[in-house]
Amino acid sequence: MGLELYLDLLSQPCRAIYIFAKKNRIPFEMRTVELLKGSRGSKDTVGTWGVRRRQDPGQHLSDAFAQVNPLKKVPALKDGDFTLAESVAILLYLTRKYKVADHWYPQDLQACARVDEYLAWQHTTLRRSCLRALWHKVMFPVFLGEPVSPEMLATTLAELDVTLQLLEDKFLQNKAFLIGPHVSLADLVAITELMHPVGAGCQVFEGRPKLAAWCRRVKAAVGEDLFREAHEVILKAKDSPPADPTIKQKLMPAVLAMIQ
Amino acid sequence: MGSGGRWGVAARTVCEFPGSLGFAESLGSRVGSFRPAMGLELYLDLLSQPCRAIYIFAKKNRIPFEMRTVELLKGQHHSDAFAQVNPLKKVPALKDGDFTLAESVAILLYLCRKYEVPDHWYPQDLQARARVDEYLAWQHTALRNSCTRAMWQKMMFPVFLGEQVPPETLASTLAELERCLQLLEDKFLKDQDFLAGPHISVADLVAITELMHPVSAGCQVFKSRPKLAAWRQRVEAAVGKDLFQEAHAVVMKAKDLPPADSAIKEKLKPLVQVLLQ
Repeated sequence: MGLELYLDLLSQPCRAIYIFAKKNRIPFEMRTVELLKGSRGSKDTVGTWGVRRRQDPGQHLSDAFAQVNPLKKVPALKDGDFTLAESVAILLYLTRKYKVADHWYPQDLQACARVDEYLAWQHTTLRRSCLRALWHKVMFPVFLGEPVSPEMLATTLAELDVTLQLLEDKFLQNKAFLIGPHVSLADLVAITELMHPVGAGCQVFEGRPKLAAWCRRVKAAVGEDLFREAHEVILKAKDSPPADPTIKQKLMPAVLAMIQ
Repeated sequence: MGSGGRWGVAARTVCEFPGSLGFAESLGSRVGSFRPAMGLELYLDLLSQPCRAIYIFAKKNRIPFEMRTVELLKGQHHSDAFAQVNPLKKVPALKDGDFTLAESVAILLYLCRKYEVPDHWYPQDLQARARVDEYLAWQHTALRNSCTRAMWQKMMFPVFLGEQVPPETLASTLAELERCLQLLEDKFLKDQDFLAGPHISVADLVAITELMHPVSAGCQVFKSRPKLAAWRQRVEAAVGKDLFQEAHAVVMKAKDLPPADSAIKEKLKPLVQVLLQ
């Protein structure tokens, strides 16, 4: 087999990898790991770069997937016998192996450090607050049928606000992209995060013209079609049918651990 | 306050002086006077795990730097002067001429590249490097988190803050630590000598300095884990026992800290909230 990417486009880091691989015309087999879908009758669709396989629900928890990633998370990569977890590691691996254009992860010492700085910072900040915003605002009530108190939601959205401010003030500042004049891995990782609360109906860019302008630039750099394609799933998240009780029971512990 | 470190570099303390740059110069120059361009400066508190990793790395590789101590327990990371270096108000931070950098992983990689350290620290080989990247990414929300909470809930809360943590909370934290340690062994270390393969890398430095956090709180992290214990011996030997001990002197004495006064307790309140969640 060639390169296989185990992704669920519901997940922010999966979207970043999907966009990166496609934008750079990296040939890969798409292995869809459906984190949430309960229906066994999901259709096989042939994507541009590969075949979407029919999967069982909560498939990331299966033994088969654990062979690919013992951490039981998406995204995951399999390249021959080599398996790799963690989106940042995967993005860097693809960057190096496929020798993509320099701006994605510059050779320049300081520019590179800026990308590393963003990729390190986001794990416990933007990633976390975007995930919680989506789950508290939409996924808990709509998909899992679990109400979320107004205070909890308010706290989550306030945290999101703080991290968005840091994103603007510390990282973006007055630059075109997060680390300078060109789009990099940092922008991909950031934009796919922000689409999580957008998918939940949060007006992330309202009152933030700087971020809104940056978002437009990133979309243009990536390509509007590709951007839209990568975000189809998340933008339909609020229309998810409620999970049936067995799925809910299966997923609950993992979900609670994920959004801590 | 200055002490000659192993390399003869004076450790200067970043203090809060109103109306000044906020640095206490041990030499005769006036506080607030123009400072000539400096070489590499590392803003560290050895109480902090990522700071220890950077300290060990820099010293092991004989990277010349000025040590700038930022005492977290005195709230020094909140000073305006330090915010100039890192607006995120956290240690570690780096200043190299006009270039400032936050985030320990970014700092380690910057030092690797700039000072062209031996390959094994961050190997050129595609897959070996990916293994290091994988560990460095995973640890942020896994081992880092559980080691910090274990140390604070088991020791710092009662000893330093004079507060008891509910037994269920501590039990849950220690269980989570166990889970992370198991993953560290099963997924990362496996049957290798070091986390990313046969040689020590920055991944091992980041991991070992994490594990010393619960060790300092009296957690028997290595007791029933011979594999991890053997790995620890190898890492210490590779780093050098003296340097390892030097880097961990502060955290190993944390249990003997005098109780915090009410001003400090107030300052640390937001941190306390986060660590109890």
